[in-house]
Amino acid sequence: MSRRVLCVDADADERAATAAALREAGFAATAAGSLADARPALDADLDCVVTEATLPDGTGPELVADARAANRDVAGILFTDAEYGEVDTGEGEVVEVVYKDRPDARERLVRAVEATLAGRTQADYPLPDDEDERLAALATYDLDDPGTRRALDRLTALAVERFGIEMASVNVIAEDEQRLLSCEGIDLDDRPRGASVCTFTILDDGVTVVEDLRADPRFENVTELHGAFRAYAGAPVRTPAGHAIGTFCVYDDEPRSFTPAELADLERFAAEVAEQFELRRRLAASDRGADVMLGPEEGAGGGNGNGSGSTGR
Amino acid sequence: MSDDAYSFPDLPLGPVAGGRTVLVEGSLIDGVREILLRAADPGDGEGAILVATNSTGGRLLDYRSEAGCADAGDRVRIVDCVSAQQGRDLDAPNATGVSSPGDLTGIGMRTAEGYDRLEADGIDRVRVGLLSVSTILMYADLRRTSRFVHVLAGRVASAGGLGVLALDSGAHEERTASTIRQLCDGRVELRDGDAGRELRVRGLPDQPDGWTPVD
Repeated sequence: MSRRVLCVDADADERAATAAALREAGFAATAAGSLADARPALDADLDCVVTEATLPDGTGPELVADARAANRDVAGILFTDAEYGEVDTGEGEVVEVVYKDRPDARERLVRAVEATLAGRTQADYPLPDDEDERLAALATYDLDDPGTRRALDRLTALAVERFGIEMASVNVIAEDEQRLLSCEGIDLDDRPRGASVCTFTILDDGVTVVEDLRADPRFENVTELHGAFRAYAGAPVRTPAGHAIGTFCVYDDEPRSFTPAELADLERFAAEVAEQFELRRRLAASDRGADVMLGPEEGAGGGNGNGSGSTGR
Repeated sequence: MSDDAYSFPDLPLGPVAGGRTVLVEGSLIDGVREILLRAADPGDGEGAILVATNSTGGRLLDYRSEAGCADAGDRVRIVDCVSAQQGRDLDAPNATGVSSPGDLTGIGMRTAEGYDRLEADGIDRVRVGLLSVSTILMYADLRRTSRFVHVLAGRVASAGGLGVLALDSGAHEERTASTIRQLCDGRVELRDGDAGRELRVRGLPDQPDGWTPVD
């Protein structure tokens, strides 16, 4: 599916030319002439805003801030002929900048949009070193298989009993979002990666513990997370080759710590999820009559199949 | 190592491939400023954009001289985040200013200007130095700072440049330092060791093993 780009410029010819250049490059580009015209298009599915620095009813940085209120992972690019000092840079929204008055400006802009979206270089969180391989591995699993979902539901229910708390979930971290595959005792929706604690869990070798979400510098101002839970512990779900594709998490609505025994059990739950994914992938391949051969994933060994921890990044 | 690698003749570092961003971690006592300025010193035919968040542009040029970096004239462009905040005029040639270290939009605009001006001078190999991430963190929270570092590193990657960012790791809690590290391709750690000032490289190929004295 084409990535959605919104082009905002008060000059009709400019915005039409910019949108046309982006469409030619394969983007689903739309255009607006002002902040007010642009606002209806600011939703969770928008990928990038390309905007003049100064708009009739506001500023480009202001528009990017509004877009990020709807989806904090939106990329923002100022495509402008204004110099610094002619622009109210406001609260300092972070954007890429491409100047219009340079040679080949529109080609530069298209390259900037391509690089920004392909590399997700405006994410406000780190990406794993093995991001491409991780996503490729994730794509090999049927996450919507009802049998898998039932197995995951049993595991989250068991985890709630084991930890004596009320909330547990199994998640995968896709390219743009955290998908919740099973939730026990907590009502969470799929969410942008930037608004996900698990985005950080897949960066770590072992279990990630956040004793108080609001006191952790990574999440203290991520208001989308506040209210659902205060304490978190999550273990990466790894493929046999060691790629972290998801997480097994438990939550509490009060700040708390977790014992080493609890964290070891959490890793075992994550390992069990990984085994369920892998087993059902093999079964599906077998049902399709495909050769169930050891591919790169299986052949590499490791992972957390033994429940004793995870491989390094 | 590929032909596009950046070298460091005055530091015990192997070449670093183009497009990489390296975090230099340490305190002022460990020499973080000096090592960053030496690492960001443009080689022959290269340019540099230095983002000064805790000193004026003129002071940064003084620090460059003290670090042994030769005058590179127009090949060094400075984004001065301090002078305007202090109500002072810019005090360095080739410097442009922004209102404060928290004006992250402005730093992005000025950095883009720097790239364009170097390109207009025929320079397409650019080292970008940020001194320092720690100052940015005083003005912006970790997530906004992360986005800023990500954008800077993305620009370096797409331009085949070299990014060198300083972090006073002792000034931040581990979760903050770890997040900034994860945004970079590798890091240079500094310490005041038994043999004097020493550095150690993590996460980059073809580099010296262990702690190495710095002259």
